[in-house]
Amino acid sequence: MKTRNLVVPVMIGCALAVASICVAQRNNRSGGFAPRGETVDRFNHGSVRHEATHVVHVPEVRRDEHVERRSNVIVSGRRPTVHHDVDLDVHGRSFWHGFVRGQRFHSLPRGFLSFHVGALPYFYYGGIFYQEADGGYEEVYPPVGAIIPTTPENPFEVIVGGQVFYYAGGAFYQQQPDGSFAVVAPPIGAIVPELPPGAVQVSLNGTIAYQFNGVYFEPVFVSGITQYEVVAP
Amino acid sequence: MQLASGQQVQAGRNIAVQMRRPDRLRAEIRSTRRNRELIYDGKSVTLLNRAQNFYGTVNVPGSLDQAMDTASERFGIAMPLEDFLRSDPYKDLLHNVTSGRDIGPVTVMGVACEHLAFTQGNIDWQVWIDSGPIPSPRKFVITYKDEPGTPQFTAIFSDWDFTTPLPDFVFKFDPPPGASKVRVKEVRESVKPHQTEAK
Repeated sequence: MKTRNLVVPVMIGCALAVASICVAQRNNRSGGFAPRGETVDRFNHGSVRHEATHVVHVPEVRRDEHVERRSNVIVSGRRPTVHHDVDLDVHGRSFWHGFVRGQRFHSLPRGFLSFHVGALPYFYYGGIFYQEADGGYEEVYPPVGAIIPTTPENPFEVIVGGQVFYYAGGAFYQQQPDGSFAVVAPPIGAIVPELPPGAVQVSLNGTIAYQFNGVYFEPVFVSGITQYEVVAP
Repeated sequence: MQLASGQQVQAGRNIAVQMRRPDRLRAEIRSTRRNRELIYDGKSVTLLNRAQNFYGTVNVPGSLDQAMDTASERFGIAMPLEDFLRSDPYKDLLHNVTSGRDIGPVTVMGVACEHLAFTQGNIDWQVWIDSGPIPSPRKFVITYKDEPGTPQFTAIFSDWDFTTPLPDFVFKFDPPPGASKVRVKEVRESVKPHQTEAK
């Protein structure tokens, strides 16, 4: 007896599926951190067998008491969920997507912040940092150590080693005990869904990578789609 | 999907699948700006991101069923409609079903079908099966009951072909010119505390 699966050359060709998919975007706008039940991402819609298994469990983040109590700061981070095969730019473009290093302006956007990092004066607006240049202002790389009151709009929430980072405009931010956010060194191993604006393609140990402000982002397939991992040079 | 404003919009894509049982698969998933392929040659799964010209390969020997299991468990790779690629779709689809009913005869794209509806844990799903001599699915809908706005996945099967022979070369992967090979991350690895990989 021949079993049907092995011997009969069943060939299913060209099942052209015009599939419309619906992906729920995480919409963590309720303020504060996402409750535990929401630390689940699903981005593989379209199969019954992955009804329960297509969730990605992210480790629960342990928070300190004093962070928990500070409820006036709204963190609207989103997990670096990438919508499979979806053309619609559901995230939209944020102000920081327009970062071009060295781009100059006569004046700063209304509502800018000014502060020093070390001894150097910086200006900030919407996820982009500026310094004075030739009587105007130019866009500069995010300086590690800068502290801003809240994250830029629509940052990606990235968890590395149990720690929460917010990624926007090529910068990684971490919340401070007082509720503000500091630009920190990009954590090795962070996986982000998009490259920093203006990252340049380079070759790193024979592998393709992208460089931004001395940090290397290597393309990797995560759950079947391309994302970028911060790697040591 | 839900926009940041809360508005619901639909996104579409085309999937072309070529399969030869028990262990060959080539699937291309296409939308206007994105294009990815998944190829299984009986030994390894290759992912190709044609838009950016990246590809990655992982060894997952075995039947297509085994390869699909490994790909999803270890690498988080799942394909829309893969239920219909299983060796026993009926068994797998009904595995967790808690209730089902026959809604009756319905025409899908001009084809007479039987409309079946099922319910289980997080989802409801419906399938429209061709009433003709080959009972192939013609339409498939999943409703995600546990997600905000209960989004739906809808697929129309537009062109079944059970006769064209598919030789080995169809399932052989040749990197496109200039393509870069990139790593395929294990799912568990990506949620572990950070680790640097050996080059």
